Amino acid sequence: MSSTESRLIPPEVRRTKTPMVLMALGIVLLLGGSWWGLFRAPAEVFMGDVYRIFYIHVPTAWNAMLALTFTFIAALAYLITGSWKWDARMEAGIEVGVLLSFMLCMQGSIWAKPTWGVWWDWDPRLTTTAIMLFAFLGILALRRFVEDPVRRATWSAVATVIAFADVPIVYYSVRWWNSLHQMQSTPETVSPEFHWPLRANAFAVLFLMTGWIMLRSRIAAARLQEDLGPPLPGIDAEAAVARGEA
Amino acid sequence: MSGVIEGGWAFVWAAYALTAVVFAAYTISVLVRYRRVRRERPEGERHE
Repeated sequence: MSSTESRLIPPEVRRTKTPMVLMALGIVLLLGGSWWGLFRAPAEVFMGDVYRIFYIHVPTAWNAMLALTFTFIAALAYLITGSWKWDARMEAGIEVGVLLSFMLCMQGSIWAKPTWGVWWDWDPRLTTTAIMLFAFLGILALRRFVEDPVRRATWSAVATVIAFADVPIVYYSVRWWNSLHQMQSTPETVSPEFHWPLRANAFAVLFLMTGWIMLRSRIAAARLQEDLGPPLPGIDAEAAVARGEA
Repeated sequence: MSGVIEGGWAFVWAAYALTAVVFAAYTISVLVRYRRVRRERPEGERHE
């Protein structure tokens, strides 16, 4: 591959220090926040010590929705601009969003057993979350099976915009319907003693998520470069980069 | 009966352990895949 073609990979794709630092910071914060939540924060009035799952479950939930919101923005950006970097970011956001959504369901299920007596219930919050998880998992599967890069990008961007409709429904489901699940965690609904470990873990998962998305975007961009191949004769690759077309 | 859930530490540890394992595995997976992609590129293309 020529040096001209290598410039089709934007400079930010080639740097790795930032995602590494973010992931390291995330891990350190997660260890500290979890230690605080497990051993220093007081027990909850009704749930006793079982509530401590909250310090990992709520940050995972917040960041799952944030990752999918980023994915939605990337999908719109791709549909509007046609720039491949947004397709790479969308793919990364979907994968990380699916991972976090899956973890949120697993953590919630483990918390549900001692508190509700069941591993799962078809209540509005859990049902809409399951729909969100399977919708985006379906988009990941779609991307795996469509070989043509233009079709893959366009179809998955449109599917992402449609699937994202469920994300605010998941968030507001506890307000709109009669749900077993407790209300959203806000400073008004959570006691002050619980705020700091929750915030620490929320930022920890945010840093981890951001580092993952940055690295995963690079992997997706590299795959795109193989799929798209070298520029056709007569096409100025550097001008294409300047126009944001590559 | 006090009305407070007693014990339950097994569930707490299970949730944290599962999260730690999955997050660690995904972090390693992304790093390995990224390194593989970089190795597949000829020397002249790598920039930091």
